[in-house]
Amino acid sequence: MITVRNLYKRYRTAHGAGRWVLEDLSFSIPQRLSVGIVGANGAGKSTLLRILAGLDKPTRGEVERTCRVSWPLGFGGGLQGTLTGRQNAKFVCRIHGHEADIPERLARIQDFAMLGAAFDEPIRTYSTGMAARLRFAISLAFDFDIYISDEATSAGDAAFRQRAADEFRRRANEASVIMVSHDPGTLRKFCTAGLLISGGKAHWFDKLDDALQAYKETVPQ
Amino acid sequence: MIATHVPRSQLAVTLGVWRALILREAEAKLFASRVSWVWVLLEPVLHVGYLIVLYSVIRVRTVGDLDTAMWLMIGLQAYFMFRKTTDRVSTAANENSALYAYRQVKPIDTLIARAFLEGAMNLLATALLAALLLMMGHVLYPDFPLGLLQALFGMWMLGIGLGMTISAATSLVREIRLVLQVVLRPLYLISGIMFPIASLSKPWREVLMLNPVAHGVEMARMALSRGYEGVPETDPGYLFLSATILVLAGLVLQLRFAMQIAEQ
Repeated sequence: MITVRNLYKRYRTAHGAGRWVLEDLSFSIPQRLSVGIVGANGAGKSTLLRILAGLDKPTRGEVERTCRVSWPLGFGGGLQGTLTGRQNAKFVCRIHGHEADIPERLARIQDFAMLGAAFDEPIRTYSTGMAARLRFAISLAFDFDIYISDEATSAGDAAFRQRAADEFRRRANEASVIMVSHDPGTLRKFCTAGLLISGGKAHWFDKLDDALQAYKETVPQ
Repeated sequence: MIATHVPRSQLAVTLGVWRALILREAEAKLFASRVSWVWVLLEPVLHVGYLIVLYSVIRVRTVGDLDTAMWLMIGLQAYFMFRKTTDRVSTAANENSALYAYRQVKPIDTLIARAFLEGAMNLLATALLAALLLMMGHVLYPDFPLGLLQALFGMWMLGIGLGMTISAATSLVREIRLVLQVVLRPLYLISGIMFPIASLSKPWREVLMLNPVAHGVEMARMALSRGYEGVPETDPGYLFLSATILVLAGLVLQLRFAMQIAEQ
């Protein structure tokens, strides 16, 4: 369960405090409910994800996490180019305190990422899709209650996307996902509820389709 | 399911992160290319080597009753302990920014992990240099082994403190790095690594000994031999006081501006 109470966020810019990106958000996401976040570019979706994941602090208000929340899975970040996929995966195991069963987890990651021999090549030789697959596989090696995904599943080819969706469906009883995506198809595959971010406010919808519909209405024709 | 539901204590998380970062940094540093692990050890050897050749050309056999090779080597290694730690720590937060994607990792962790790695590498390089010099017939047996460690530790602390301070300062005002490059470069010349400060007149010595690095360099040499005539103004208290002030200032800045440092 993630509870957000009166969350405000703004960034400091070169000219002092910026505009409010998020203004007075309050909602709670129950366990095992997957939520799709929609909104225009720059509406504050990624900012909200970063705050939910604990990477950024709200300017005001608070976020309470009573379960294990993943880091935001998305493009860039978290991997070092000069190290191999295996070395990077090992690092993530270590910071999550799984020193004892590293081989077991590495096997799981290698298995899911399906990178073949590239798993032992430096990350900088990977294509965007390969890196995204590795990042996604690493996160699946840990049993998080909530996975936070910032367009993560849109990378990778169709086959990989299908496998990712299947994996989440298989885990539907113990894990859920909070995701940002501009692709309604992807959102429908993973999520049941929707959250629309618009004008710094958040609007909760129990049904994803209602959120998508409301989002469409905010877009000027 | 492998996972346990018991949350780790904050200390356990931090120690786990440090361990992971140190191992990862070591891997990245030693295996970045085919020769990088050789270079880590070879660089100080070459540096000391060419200074020794320089001194043998001008035929200085001893400095203040200490074998010139030893005098150069230990002074240089003490200086490097400070300088390399400063350089590596001050750039750690920026170079590891990809890792803040994991909420367990904070900028200060990357700085501390680098400091430990730099310190360990420097001790290793010093031991290697001592062994090489021993093979060339320069006997190194420090009269005060603990004093030597104390000097190196002081330089290490000074490096961490300055590195943390620079790291915070440059993430607030980027241009500071340009100024520091100009300001820090002469330190190599004025810290008494290539010439003995003890040979200068008292007023000059007093000015040069305002620099805490010079104290550390002399302390390391004094620890080698009780017969060594070092700079009379050398004061371990001054080195450790400066180091402590810098470490505290660095920690305060790192904590106060943690968000800005992570965002840069």
